[in-house]
Amino acid sequence: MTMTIYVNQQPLPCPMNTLLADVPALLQLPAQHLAFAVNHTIVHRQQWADFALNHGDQLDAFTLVAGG
Amino acid sequence: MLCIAEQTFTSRLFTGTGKFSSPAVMQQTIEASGSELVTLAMKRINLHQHRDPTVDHLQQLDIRLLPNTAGAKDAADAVYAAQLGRELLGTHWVKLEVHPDQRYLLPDPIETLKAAEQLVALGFVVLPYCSADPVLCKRLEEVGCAAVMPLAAPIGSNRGLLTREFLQIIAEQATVPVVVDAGIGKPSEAMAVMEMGIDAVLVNSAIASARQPVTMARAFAQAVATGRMAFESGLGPVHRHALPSSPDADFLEHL
Repeated sequence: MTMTIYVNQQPLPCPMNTLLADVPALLQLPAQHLAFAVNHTIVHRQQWADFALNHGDQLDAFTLVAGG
Repeated sequence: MLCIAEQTFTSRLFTGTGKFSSPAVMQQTIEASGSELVTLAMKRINLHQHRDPTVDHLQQLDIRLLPNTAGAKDAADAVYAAQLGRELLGTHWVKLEVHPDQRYLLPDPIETLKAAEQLVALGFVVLPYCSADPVLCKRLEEVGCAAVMPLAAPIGSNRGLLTREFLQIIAEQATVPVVVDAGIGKPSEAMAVMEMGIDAVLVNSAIASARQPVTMARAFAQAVATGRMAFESGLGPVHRHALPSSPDADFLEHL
């Protein structure tokens, strides 16, 4: 069974019962370089392993880039 | 030695990470600058783009990384961005930037002050990029900012010290460190503000856009150190008329 979550408004198919901690691997990005908000609420890194995602959840995913 | 929020800095030159031709050049340049406080931005990831390797290079350096809130158009955006920065870097330090106008990127003073007050209450060490307005800088200080960062000229413009007179007033009045941020285009301009008693400068574009960024970083580092040395030495007074530096100017008149 799969579901769809939206990462920065882009659809991302994933297995049911996906945890937020699973998302970095789905994105093929290192977890330490990511910050997430789920449905517009920031979820602390320490909570990712317990944070179950639901079909249709809206994730905002951020990373660091060069800047002044 | 410069101290911000109980953190001491040997170098009074802070740098940014934008506009370098490559992450490797950025890393070499920051090393050459001697900077110990370096800014970063944040953005939303794109699922179809490769990740930015900037952080990998920065983590090889012994520096404090300072996330900024660039992109924030109001106080709410800035508070949200600061919290994301804390998640990403594990730091409660933030360079607060609120600039809704994209042409000149001038900071919104009202939203900056509102955001600063909220972020201080949330436990952040707030370093606000702001207008060179002495009254605003006092207000930012009063709400608990750890430093103030008035602009010399619009971000990235390299136009130099357009706000020189106001920076002088801010330097005289501030009881928190003053970091001139944005617009400095030449090492001589960095030296000039250091001579007037500004505590530090943040330079990104002038270094990153130089033909030789690594040597330009060294030039800025020397200029900042020299300017500070001059300030600490106490500049001589300025007079409208000549004052002789030899004791007896008329000793030849009776020959």
